[in-house]
Amino acid sequence: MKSTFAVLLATTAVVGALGLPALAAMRGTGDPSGFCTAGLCAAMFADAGNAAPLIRISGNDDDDDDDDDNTRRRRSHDDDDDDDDDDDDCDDDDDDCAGARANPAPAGTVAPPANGLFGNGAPPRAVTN
Amino acid sequence: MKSRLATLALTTALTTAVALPGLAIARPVTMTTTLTEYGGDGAYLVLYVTDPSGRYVGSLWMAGGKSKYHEHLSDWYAATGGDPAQIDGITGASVGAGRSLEITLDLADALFDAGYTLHIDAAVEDMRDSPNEIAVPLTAAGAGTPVAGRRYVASFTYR
Repeated sequence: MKSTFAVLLATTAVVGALGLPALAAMRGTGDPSGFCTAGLCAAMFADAGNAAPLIRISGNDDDDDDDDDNTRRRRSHDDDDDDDDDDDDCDDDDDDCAGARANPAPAGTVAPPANGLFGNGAPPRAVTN
Repeated sequence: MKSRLATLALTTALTTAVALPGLAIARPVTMTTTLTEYGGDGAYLVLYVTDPSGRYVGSLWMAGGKSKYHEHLSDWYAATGGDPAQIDGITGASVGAGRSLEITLDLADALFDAGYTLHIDAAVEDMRDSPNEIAVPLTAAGAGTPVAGRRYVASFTYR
């Protein structure tokens, strides 16, 4: 019976020794700020006097994932989540692309340009057959 | 009294001499562009004029309203930087393969027989751009004579 308790105690200690750092690491990466702020982390590293400091490699402010609550999304762009590329600001079929040059005014909506080529007669008209 | 009448007649004559050409310097010109059956989407075409030294003067018509494709009309784009103001009020739809675009414009008489050249640039999505598809001198004698293009234009005529 005593040996069973001893084995149980030993395995618990081993699991604790292996699991707590992993748990601390998970909490560290899951934290949006990227820092380990929980008391558990403090407990893990407080007594490790020569432990390397935690280095934040990457936060989530540069991500390009298409989560819907990403507030960095450009307001002028539509909300399609179909692709992952960062350079899709001006897709071929996107007519309201921000920063694109304005389309010219169609014939009949404004006068032709004053380029000296046109008279003052009938406005231009076109027919496609 | 006679001198006043003479002065009035003189000023009337001068006014008429100056104003009448201004009223009669333009005439309707019909330009017909027929495309080949090139087997692609609608073609973007731009018709524009250069002066005797080859400098861009102005545009006559743009077939294709989306500015983002105008860079493929490369000679026109090089001359204008794609400025929409050059084609405001003279822009219509692109032209399908095998179809004809007939444009009627009130054009200045001074363009004819004065060394001006009419150019057409053409472009089709996913196909080769064709700058200077047509380059035809604007002359009275050339009216009604069909001109063939290099790639997409089967014939072009003005009259």
